[in-house]
Amino acid sequence: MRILLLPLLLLVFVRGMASAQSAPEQRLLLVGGQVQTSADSAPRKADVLIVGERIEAVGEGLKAEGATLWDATGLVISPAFVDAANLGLLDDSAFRGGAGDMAADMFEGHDSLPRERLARAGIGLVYVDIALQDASRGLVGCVASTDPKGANVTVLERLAGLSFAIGTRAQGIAGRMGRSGEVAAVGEALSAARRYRTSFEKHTKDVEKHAKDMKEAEAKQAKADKPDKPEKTDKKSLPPQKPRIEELHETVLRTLDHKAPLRIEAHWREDIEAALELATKQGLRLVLLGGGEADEVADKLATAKAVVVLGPAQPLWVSPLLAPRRRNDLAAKLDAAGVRIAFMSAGARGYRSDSAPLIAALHVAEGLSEAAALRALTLGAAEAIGLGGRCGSVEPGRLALLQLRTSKLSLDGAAPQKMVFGTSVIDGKKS
Amino acid sequence: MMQRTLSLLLLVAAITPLCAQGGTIVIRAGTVITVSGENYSPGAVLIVDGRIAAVGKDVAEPDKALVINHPEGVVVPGFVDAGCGVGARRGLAESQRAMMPDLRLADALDPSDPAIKRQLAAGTSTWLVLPQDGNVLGGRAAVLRATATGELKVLKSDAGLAVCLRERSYDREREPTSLMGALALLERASAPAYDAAAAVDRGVLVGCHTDREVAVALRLGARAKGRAVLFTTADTCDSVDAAAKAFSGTVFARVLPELSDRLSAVPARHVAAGGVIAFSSAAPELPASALRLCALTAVRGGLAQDAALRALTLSAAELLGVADQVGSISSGKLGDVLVFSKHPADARAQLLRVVQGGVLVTPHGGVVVTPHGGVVVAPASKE
Amino acid sequence: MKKMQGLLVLLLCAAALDAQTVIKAAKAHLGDGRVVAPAWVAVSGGRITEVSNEALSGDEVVDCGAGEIAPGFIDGWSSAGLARAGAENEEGREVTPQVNIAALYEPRHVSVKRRLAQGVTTLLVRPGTRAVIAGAAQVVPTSPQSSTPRHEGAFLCVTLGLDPAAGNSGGGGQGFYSRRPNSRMGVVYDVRTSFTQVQEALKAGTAIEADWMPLVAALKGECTVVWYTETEKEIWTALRLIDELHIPHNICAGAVRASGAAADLKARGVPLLLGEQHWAQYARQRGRGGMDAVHDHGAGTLHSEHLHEVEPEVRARLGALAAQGITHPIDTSEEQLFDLGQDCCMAPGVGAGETTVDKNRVPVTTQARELVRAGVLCAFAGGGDSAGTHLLDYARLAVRDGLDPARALSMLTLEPARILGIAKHKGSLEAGKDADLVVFSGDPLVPTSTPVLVMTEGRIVLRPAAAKGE
Repeated sequence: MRILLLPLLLLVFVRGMASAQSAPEQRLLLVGGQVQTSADSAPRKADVLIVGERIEAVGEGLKAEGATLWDATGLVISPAFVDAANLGLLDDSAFRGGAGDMAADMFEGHDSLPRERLARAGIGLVYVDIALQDASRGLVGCVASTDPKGANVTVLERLAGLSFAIGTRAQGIAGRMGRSGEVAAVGEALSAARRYRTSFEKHTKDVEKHAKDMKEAEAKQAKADKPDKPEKTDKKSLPPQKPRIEELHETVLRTLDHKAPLRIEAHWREDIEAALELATKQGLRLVLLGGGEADEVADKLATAKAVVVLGPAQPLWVSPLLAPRRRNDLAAKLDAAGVRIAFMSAGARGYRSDSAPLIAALHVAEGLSEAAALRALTLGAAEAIGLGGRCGSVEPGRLALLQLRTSKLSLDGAAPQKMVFGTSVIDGKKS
Repeated sequence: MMQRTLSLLLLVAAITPLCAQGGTIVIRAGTVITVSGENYSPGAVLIVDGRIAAVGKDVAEPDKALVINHPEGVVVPGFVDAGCGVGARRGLAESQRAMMPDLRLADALDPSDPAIKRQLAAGTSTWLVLPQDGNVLGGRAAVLRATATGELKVLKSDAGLAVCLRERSYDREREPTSLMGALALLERASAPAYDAAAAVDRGVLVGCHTDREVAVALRLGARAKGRAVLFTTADTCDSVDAAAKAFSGTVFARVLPELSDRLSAVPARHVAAGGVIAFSSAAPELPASALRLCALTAVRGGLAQDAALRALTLSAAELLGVADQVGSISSGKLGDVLVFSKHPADARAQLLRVVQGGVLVTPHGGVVVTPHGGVVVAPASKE
Repeated sequence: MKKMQGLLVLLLCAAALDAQTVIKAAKAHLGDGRVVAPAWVAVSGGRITEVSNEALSGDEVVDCGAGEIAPGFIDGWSSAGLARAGAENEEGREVTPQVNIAALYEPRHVSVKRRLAQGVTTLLVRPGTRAVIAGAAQVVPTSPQSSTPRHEGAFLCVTLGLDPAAGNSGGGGQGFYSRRPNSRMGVVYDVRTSFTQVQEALKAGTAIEADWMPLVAALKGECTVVWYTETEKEIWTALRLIDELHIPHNICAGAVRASGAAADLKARGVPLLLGEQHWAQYARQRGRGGMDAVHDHGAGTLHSEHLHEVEPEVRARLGALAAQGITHPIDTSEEQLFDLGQDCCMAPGVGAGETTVDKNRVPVTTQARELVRAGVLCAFAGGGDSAGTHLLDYARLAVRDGLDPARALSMLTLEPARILGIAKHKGSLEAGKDADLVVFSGDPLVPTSTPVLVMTEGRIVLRPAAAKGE
């Protein structure tokens, strides 16, 4: 099954991948700088060796043959920020997403300007989301690199996650279904994928059986009648037809296999509880978007290891429906309760798409510790976009998405000196 | 002059009762930014009977004073919001006639507006409310403030004549129907009202949203002999130099993080051109915190942190004509003081304390310090 | 002897012209808070001659058994008896002090009959609220048999708030309603301009048009200004204008929400007539609890004022409701709906906190209690025609929300009489006052009690079936 799925995953990384296919992978050695492994750790002197898209080694006095040397003296090498939901890289038409829409299809990779702006804010990776409407529309987000120098294809993960919205009280206006209906719709999407998997597995067996049958038939044929070989081959029965491949189902299957997060937007306590229950029933980890009243169920969220993705602490022009109660200190409360958090710029009116660090800083102004905010912007967001363990820190094996600053990671609003995407080093500050 | 002094005295008399409830507060912090004078690090502020009595490296600590210590904190003056609709909800557009110079915003006050308490919570001590811009001459604006418990007070009932050159003042089926018509009316029919208002300090408040409108406003600004304040957004980016010279100041609304780099640099360019700037929160349409967000965006656009703080406090107070009462930490002014965890022009700065009129504001109601030093906790709202 | 003769003649005359009627009941609420039980009320010549707890004799004794007597109710803010539903409005101009509603008042109109049957014996009939200075109001009796309307006091109605601006287009054009005012500010502007013009003319000694004389009377204190103030913010505006224009006699009327301004009303000594409260609906909600109210109002409306009371319950049961697919229309702009005269529709559980309604605000139903506690001279007024908006119901519901019952009854009788300046003749059961009274089958404040006898100026206009045969 997994082998069948793999070709569908468009794992492309800007330069590393492109070069990997032809020549040996490029190597970059950052020397003389200090490394801040993650948001929590203190910078220490170390070099970083990058091979292709990944960090190969971190340590003092690294040597690598054929590697490009880049002098990072006086700079702190830290993980790039990750925006856990961003609409800014999408075509306008994506703001009214239809069922099963793929963010990757609407991704405006050709325009490097927004990516340049994101990179200047220290953001190395964004989860490109489609504006959510309701539960019946599972929308497929993609993860994209913000490398402004990258070619058109900068999608790192095409089927990165599945997003739904549950919001009973918000539905009243549009006259849509109630919460139970919405939960059922999400459940149905998951079940449909299971059915799909069953038919796919059946197909796999059928193919195996068919191959076996054919082999046996061939063997018989070989024994019985050798001269008529070409004629007989023509008469061979065709293998069973493959079920139609739908990317939405693929994404759901990835979600069920814990490869992509189940992302549900919910704001009211009851909706959050319903979303959590749904995820628990399916044995999945919940990534909660919005979560206005999440602090009321903080313990449950912490136990379920859910990640809460937060927008601005004080939203501008937001309907009270989506911000049930102005809890400006929501991030601080969730962090204190041990809930994993991340930040997003998606859908926040009045904020640009490169605002994730600003939004984090404004949460700090409401009582969240800066360390926690930085953690949320790196490791927290990595979990929220389904890339936990693959980015968010400067460690061997992780994606080489780094920012180089004159001091350790902070939310002072200053642009990084340089951004590192794989083996390419890009100016952070505006020239 | 005599008249001005007299009205000032009356104003003070009107304010005194509201401050009488304030007791004695000493605030000690890592840094005190006075805005009008030197900064102290560490520093302390003494507030007696609602007014600032002393500021310096340290102040005498009277008996029974409420002492607030924030060794890491930064003390700044209470913010002055140069344009919002708080305390006068709805019913502000008297748009049927273009020329209504005698309307008074203070007639439409709504002391039950829940947004008043939100102003306090965001650190806004004083704010200007303009009549809604449906007229070319829209009447008299008012400067309002609140007591620490959320009671609405009028600090200045005639804070200038509102002039609106935005399209909505001439897009109706009545005279004028064009910007040139509006200008002609302003130059002739209403000349006495306009000139009378302009003769008063900071008398004319001109609202514009486009460069074209600013071009017209510049003529008026010149006629007001530097006593006109421009109300605009960052969109009027082509008129920076001329506007900085022609007006006594410019109030920016909606300088929000969404602005492009070019537009967010407009406030900084105004300051560089020698202009005085202030910000407007547009509350309650936007949350009261939008005021500080404007400053943060302007800082992103290149404005110095201290210049941004000045725009939030003293500059705004000057443009509103209430700088003798609010806008900086100096002896004799009202005891409006904020304690932040960092410089307020840093996005991360947390607002730790609000002292309004010499009274400590708490999230739920107010803590009222009595003149005798006792602390009375006002009833907290249910939660 | 001569003396005796004279007395006899007098008595005979009295007997011939005004026979003494005695009404006997289990209890009499005098209107000033006192109660007499059992009670005999003697009436002669249209006036009360004696109130006693001992038997009185008379030409006719009406025995009301277990009934309880109250003074006839006084509604100080009414548009009953006018042919147009609601009220008469002269909209030709915004300032029409010269118009007087009294000429149009028709006591035979069904709306008056209905009020009479509820025990309302006196009204202040007033013009509508579409003009800024809307004209004169008048104290009138509800009984069609009453002698000509007694011209007690003079009242000038001034409207604050958005009513005069409602429907006016702020743009130009040629329509009748393309006009000023368009805002609360503009309404105040009209009030101020009118009064200051008159003030200046008075100062200068120039002639004043006859049409404007009511304004002169108001400034001189010969006439009471009745300010239509729907909510606190208009009350505050009225108080500011009263100070600014130096108007001596004032009443705030029609208030649907006023308790926030209680202290200020008390300080200025301005009395208040509480307006029509939509209390029937509130009562249902309070009576059955928040959740039932959600069901009651179909799509699920719940008045925000009660949200803080029912929220935990609502929250707990909301899940169950939603599972059944019941969703709720939401409009958190309470103020907007309020100004439109509608009840606020909110989803249960919508934060009654900062984003929508001030949690500390006193619920509308308890405001009578709050106003009384603050010492404001106030009365119930504005009883409507629709079921459940009887004047008496306001008092009954206020009692349920904690108002002292004796006070509630006096807020229908003596208090409005005082506010309107007619307490010399009306408002309580006292020898010498007009014999306006109503007898209920039991305690008037108990919802099951009904009026069994209504008397205006000595004439019985509604009579108990049992007493009729005697």
